[in-house]
Amino acid sequence: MEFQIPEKFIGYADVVLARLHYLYPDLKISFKKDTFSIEVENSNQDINLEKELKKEIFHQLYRAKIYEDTLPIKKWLFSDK
Amino acid sequence: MLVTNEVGDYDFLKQDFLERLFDDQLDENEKTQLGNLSVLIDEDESWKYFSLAKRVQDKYAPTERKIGYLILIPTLRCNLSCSYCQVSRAPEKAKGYDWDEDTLKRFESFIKENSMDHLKVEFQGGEPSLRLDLVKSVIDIVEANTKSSEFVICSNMVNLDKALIDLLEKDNFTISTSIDGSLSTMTKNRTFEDETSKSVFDNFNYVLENYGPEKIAALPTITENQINSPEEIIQTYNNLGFQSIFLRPVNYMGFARKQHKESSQAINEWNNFYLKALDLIKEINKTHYFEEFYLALLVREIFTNSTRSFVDYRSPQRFLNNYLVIDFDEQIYPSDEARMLSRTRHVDLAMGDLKSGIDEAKLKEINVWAENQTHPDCMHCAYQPFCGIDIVDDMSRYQRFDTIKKDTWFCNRQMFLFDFIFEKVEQQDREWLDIFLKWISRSNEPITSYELF
Repeated sequence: MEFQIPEKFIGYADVVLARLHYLYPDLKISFKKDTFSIEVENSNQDINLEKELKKEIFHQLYRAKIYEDTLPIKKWLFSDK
Repeated sequence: MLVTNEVGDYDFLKQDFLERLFDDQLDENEKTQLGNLSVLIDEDESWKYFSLAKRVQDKYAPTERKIGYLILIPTLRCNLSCSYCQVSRAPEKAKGYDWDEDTLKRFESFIKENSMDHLKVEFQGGEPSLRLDLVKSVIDIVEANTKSSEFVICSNMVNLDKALIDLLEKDNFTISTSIDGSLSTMTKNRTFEDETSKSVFDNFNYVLENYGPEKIAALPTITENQINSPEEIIQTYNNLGFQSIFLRPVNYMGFARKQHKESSQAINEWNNFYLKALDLIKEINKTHYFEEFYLALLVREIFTNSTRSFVDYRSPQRFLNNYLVIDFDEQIYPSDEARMLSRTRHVDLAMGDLKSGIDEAKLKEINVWAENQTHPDCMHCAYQPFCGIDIVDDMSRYQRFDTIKKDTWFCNRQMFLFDFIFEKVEQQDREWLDIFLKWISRSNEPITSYELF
């Protein structure tokens, strides 16, 4: 399975790759250029798994971007009083 | 369409206003509405930024730790084995599950170190009435080291010893118990014997008749045994003379994970049950005051901007800032649910213990994720300023808290409640607005001030 991601999310791919390896330890997942590739042993691709992975990849990318964008707010919320 | 700003000011706009906003086609009234919310700010209105920033600062700025509420577990032993018990309770005769003299000494040091002005202590278990000697010692320690204090013992009321009755004579001591409905429901959920259920009701009624409703409170836990018949639980509480009921679904924790697997995950069934219960509560309010505790709490917080008082649903959560749990083995937890997850070896959420103190590094690690202000899903939600976050529940249900929020039990329950409240406001449903006003003023005859909405 392959999932191409928009250019502005490429900078977060390494973080997401690490998270995906944790969430799906049995899958071989890699990232090259602008695409996540996932090796699935069963050649009959499971449509539900594909949907789940797509949802998870884009959710994690979005999380990583929002985390970076909002980090100053988070730092303020939890700064030492 | 509901529009809110960062601090919870709100207004309703036409469904298509967003498109017209970006096409610069808003009418003057809509521009005024958005200006009042500080969503639209003109170049010469920079004061609006500062005003909003000040209100954000007042509402969310970090605060120093000031413990005002403690849950203590003097013993993990219990004389019941309820079907949904959320903790790994210990058998009544087991050894090694109680506080000892050394624990009391360390507890006293903890109280002194944290210099508490007012402290509320909740005795949980296990069944804390099995060790009323420890309960009395804790009361002595707290009263000697605080300016004022309150105590509540969460007892199953299977037994009502003289020692517990004596404690009730204290002005600052109350009982909280579990009443899940009729005698047969109590037997199904909790006691497994009608005789024991009857003792619970007898003891409950004894306290109610001799000490009044201000000395005893009750909480239900709703399982599949009650989910199809809200009438029973509502009528039970109404007949017992309560003015409030906290409709709590069985948690997806502890033994309930196995014994109530279906009902602890069925959010739609829960919301249907809840809606039916609200219809019944509406009818009761036609004759006298009766509130659903959690909905009333949300209504007060939304429309009076009162402080977040319910510890499970705040944002930022700021675990251990004003509330913590000390277990029978002296471990310190951020909440009772966190204790449950740790006890069942799901995830270790202990944040230190009485011997070594609070583990500040670990606490910070969990705290930074327990907020919805920068949560990628919540930050775009109109209900975010009114909502909380419950990462402990997420961990229990999904083994992680970075799941998509709208797929979680917590989010679906909260959204349902906020939808209910704001639909009534948008429709100016006077029947419900009158009830909201009663709940806000905690009175059956409130001032008719619809401008609150």
